[in-house]
Formats: sequence, structure tokens, C-alpha cells
Amino acid sequence: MSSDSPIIIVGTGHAGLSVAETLRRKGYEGEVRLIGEEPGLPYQRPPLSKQYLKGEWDESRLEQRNSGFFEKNRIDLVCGKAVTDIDPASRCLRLDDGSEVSWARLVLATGSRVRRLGVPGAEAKGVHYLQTRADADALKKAKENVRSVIVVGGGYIGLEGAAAFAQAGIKVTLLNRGTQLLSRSTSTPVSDYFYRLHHAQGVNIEFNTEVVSVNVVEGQAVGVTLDDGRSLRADLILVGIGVEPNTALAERAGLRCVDGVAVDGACRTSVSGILAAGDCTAFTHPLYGDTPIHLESIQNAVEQGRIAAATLVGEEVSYDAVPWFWSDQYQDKLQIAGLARGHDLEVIRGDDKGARFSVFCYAQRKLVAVESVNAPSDHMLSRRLLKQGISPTPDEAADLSFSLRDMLA
Amino acid sequence: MVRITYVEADGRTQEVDAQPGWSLMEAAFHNGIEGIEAECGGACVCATCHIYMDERYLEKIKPMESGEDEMLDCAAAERKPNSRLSCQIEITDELEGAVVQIPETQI
Ligand SMILES: Cc1cc2nc3c(=O)[nH]c(=O)nc-3n(C[C@H](O)[C@H](O)[C@H](O)COP(=O)(O)OP(=O)(O)OC[C@H]3O[C@@H](n4cnc5c(N)ncnc54)[C@H](O)[C@@H]3O)c2cc1C
Ligand code: FES
Repeated sequence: MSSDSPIIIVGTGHAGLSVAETLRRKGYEGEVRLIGEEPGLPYQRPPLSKQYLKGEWDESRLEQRNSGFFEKNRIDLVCGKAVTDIDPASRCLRLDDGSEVSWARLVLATGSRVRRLGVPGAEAKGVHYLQTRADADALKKAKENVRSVIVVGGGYIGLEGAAAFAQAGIKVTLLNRGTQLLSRSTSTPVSDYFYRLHHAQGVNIEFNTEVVSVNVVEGQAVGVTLDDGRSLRADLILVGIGVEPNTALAERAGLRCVDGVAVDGACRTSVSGILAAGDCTAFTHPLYGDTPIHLESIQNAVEQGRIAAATLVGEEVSYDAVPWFWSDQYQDKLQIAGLARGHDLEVIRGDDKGARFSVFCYAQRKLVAVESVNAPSDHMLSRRLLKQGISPTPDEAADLSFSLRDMLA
Repeated sequence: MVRITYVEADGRTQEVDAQPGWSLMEAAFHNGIEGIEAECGGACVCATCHIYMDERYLEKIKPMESGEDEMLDCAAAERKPNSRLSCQIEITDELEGAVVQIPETQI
């Protein structure tokens, strides 16, 4: 066995699979083992709150690759086993069944874990989260017998969940902490658009509310009490109040972590021989200055997976891809290019009261993000503008007759 | 099952038994065919599942919607008259024997 093998990847999500697959595509011949605590073949997460929750897709469609793929590519897939400790000094890790595995190089692709509702009653039956296939299965099953749902949190998971419930004819009340939906990540016109969309579908949205307890009868959640004293009844509660990077293993092993496992542009952590990729990381990005960013997206998981693999086979690479993200709600599609962090100007291209527009977000006159509702070409062109560092002036961005394509090199 | 042949950019071909109801992207993706990246898993938001469709079968598939059309304009490889996003093409029995060409690049 050569000293660069085996490569062990912890986490069978989008990032972990991307590392393993890219290693083989790049001709790496050593041993590759993918260890994950979730059972079954690696699957795609985005459909969990979309096609899968709605019942449009069955389980086999969620799978990322069939079992033959793992055999053919000699990727040793170990499912249903959690890594409990890693020891950088002896290059050894321990699994929850007590066994030990040595590695030559290690990639942490441990993703995120959901933030739990920390109020009395929150552990009752009928309080759901939506992050894993198992969560989605439980929610799908419960959904068949409910007439009313409370969704806690107006982020992407909450809104996509609300859409799936509303489309199934279930009465939905969505509780949002602040004054705006999706507030952490999106511009005002886009939040307002999604408010109107859900409102038109019959979803009752309450702003500025905080849940102080879950009301429980005989172990079963029957509703919530709000900070203004009101009680709301519902047959099911879906909590979508965000996720946190899964850094426990890394922290215990002494890797530097700040809002994620700190990595450089080549996905190297602070400890030699250990890399990290996907939702669990934080890093500085050439487009977004010196403050580290942390992304929760497929684009980032797949991209960092590729970069980690390239680094492992000795290529010189550095992350400079433009972040992008999407969300599907009802018939509408939101696509985001870039990061709207700290922007000070929002310019609307198209009709934000209609069904197709984009919002160009600027920070100090520089384009930093473009959020498109049902405007795929704006989105794709914006990705390239951002990549090339080209900013149309606000007037140009607002002018539909101005060609963004012509600005590109 | 429906027999589909994928031709990678370097000429390598691979035959796949595809599930009717799935998309041409999914059949490729699940079988690890290289050159179809499908980063978004079929949400029609990445254009990394671009293919050149077998011309003999163009009549047998649903025409593209405007979203696919716009995404194709921004695909990494050259757009040709038979360009499609493979995630938007549903596999039906009528596609038996189709040969799908994968472009040089998706990113
Ligand atoms: C319902 C839902 C919908 C989403 N929709 C979208 C969308 O539309 N667009 C988009 O861009 N993004 C979306 N996302 C976000 C996207 O899925 C994540 O950003 C992506 O999955 C991150 O990939 P990852 O591999 O870093 O982490 P994950 O996919 O979270 O995978 C991490 C894996 O590591 C395993 N693991 C963790 N610790 C250990 C350990 N100690 N030992 C063994 N295994 C371990 C976990 O069990 C998990 O399987 C969605 C997420 C969810 C939950
Ligand atoms: S898979 Fe992303 S557009 Fe087809």
C-alpha cells in the first residue's frame, strides 16, 4: 500500500460522493472508502422537500448512483456507521461499533445538522424536522393524516414544506421570527414575492412571532403557544429554523473551526493530511473579501468535493467558483447567483409584481448577487458576469433592452 | 426497460437499461456515465446535463419549455439544433434504441 492510500471520506452526502467520484475520474488508483452514518445508498437532499415530500418521486429516484456504480469504481461504501473520533497523530479513526480504521489522508464531509427547537414540549411526537431521508419518510407518512400544519421558520425548508402541504390541501400556518421571509439570504423584492405567492395559495403567514412552547396532549403535539400569549392548534409541526455545520469531530481532533471547519481554497484544513468539503466548511472566497463564508448548497458541496479530490491527486487548485443556489415552490423557481451579504442597493430587472424578474444586488457599486424568479437566462448570465467581475451599472441592469450577454468577454 | 446508448465525447459508448418515467439524465446519472454532471439533480437550473439528442427520435419527445430553452443558451458546450437538457426528457418505450451524444464539456 502506498503512503497516499487509503483515502477515507467521512460523510456520504453530496460532498463526500463528489470527492470519491472525482478521485476515480482523475485516475486515482488507491483505496477509497466512503463512511456515513445514514443507512442505504447516498441520496439527493433537495428533492426531500420537493418531489419526494409531494409524493411525485419514489425512493429509488432519490438515489445518487446505483450500487453497480460503487462496485465498478471500487468505492468502498460503508453505510450506517458513524465516526466517533479521529486521531490525527496516529491517523486512525474510530467507528461507533468500536472498530478502528487507519487512513493515509482523510476528508471530512460531515455536512450540517438541524437546529432544534429549544422550547418546552418540542420533543413531543408530531414535531418534525426535514433534513434526512428518514425525516422525509416520517413526514410523508404523517402528512397523510393531518388537516392542519404549523411550520416554524420562513427559510427555504419551511417555505418548500409549506408549499408541499398547501398543494396537498392541508391548512398551513407559517410562523416567521422577523419581518421578512428568507431574510438572512435574500433581497426584499424576492421575499415579498414569495410572501404573495404563499398567501395566494392560502398559507397563513405570521411575522414577528416566536414559539415559546409546544402544546402537548398525551405525548402528542397539538399546537404551539406564541410569545404574544396566543395558542395555535395544528395536527403537525414542521420546524425549519436552520442548520449548523457539523464540526464536532473536527473540533475534538483540534482542527481550527470558525462557523465551520476552516479550509483554504484547496480544501485543506489546519491539520496536514486532513481535508474538508461541503456544508461543514468555512473559507474565504476571492469574490467576497477577507471574512470567511459558509455555504449550504449543492453547488458548494459538489465543487468543494471536486477541489478536495484534485488536491488529493496533487493538482494545484483554488476555489473561485461563483456560489449558486435554487429553490422550487409551487410552479415558481428562484435561482440565486453570488452572495447578497452586506449589499446596499437592490435593482429590479423586469416586473417584480409579475411572474418573472431578477434583483441585482450591489455592495459599494459592485455587483455581488443576482436573484432571479422564473428568469433562468438572467441567472446563467449573472453567474458569468460575477465570475468575470463585470458589474452592469444599476441603470443598465434595470433596462430590459440592455443585453447582459453583450457584456461578457 | 428501455435500451438507451450514451456516447461520451471521446467516443466510448455505454448501453443502459433505463426505467420508463425517469429522465435521460437520471438513467445516465445512476449508471455513472461520465460527462453528464447534472449538478442540480434535474431541477433544470444548472445546464450541466446537456446532450445532443438522437435526431431520429426528436419527434418522439416532448418539445422543450422556455426554461430549458434559456438554460441551453448558456450551456458550456456549443448549442446545436438537437441540443437538449437530458433531465427534461422523459424516458418512454418509444425511445427504445435511442443514441444520446454527450458534449465535450458541461462546466
Ligand atoms: C430538505 C433539503 C432541501 C434542500 N434543497 C436545496 C436546494 O434546492 N438547492 C441547494 O443548493 N441546496 C439545497 N439543500 C442543501 C443541500 O442539500 C446541502 O447543502 C448539501 O446536502 C450539503 O452536502 P454535504 O455533503 O456537505 O452534507 P450533507 O448532505 O449534509 O451530508 C453529510 C453526511 O455526513 C454524515 N455524517 C455527519 N457526521 C458523521 C459522522 N461523524 N460519521 C459518519 N457520517 C457522518 C451525515 O449523516 C450526512 O449523511 C437542501 C437541504 C435539505 C435538507
Ligand atoms: S440536471 Fe441540472 S439542468 Fe438538468
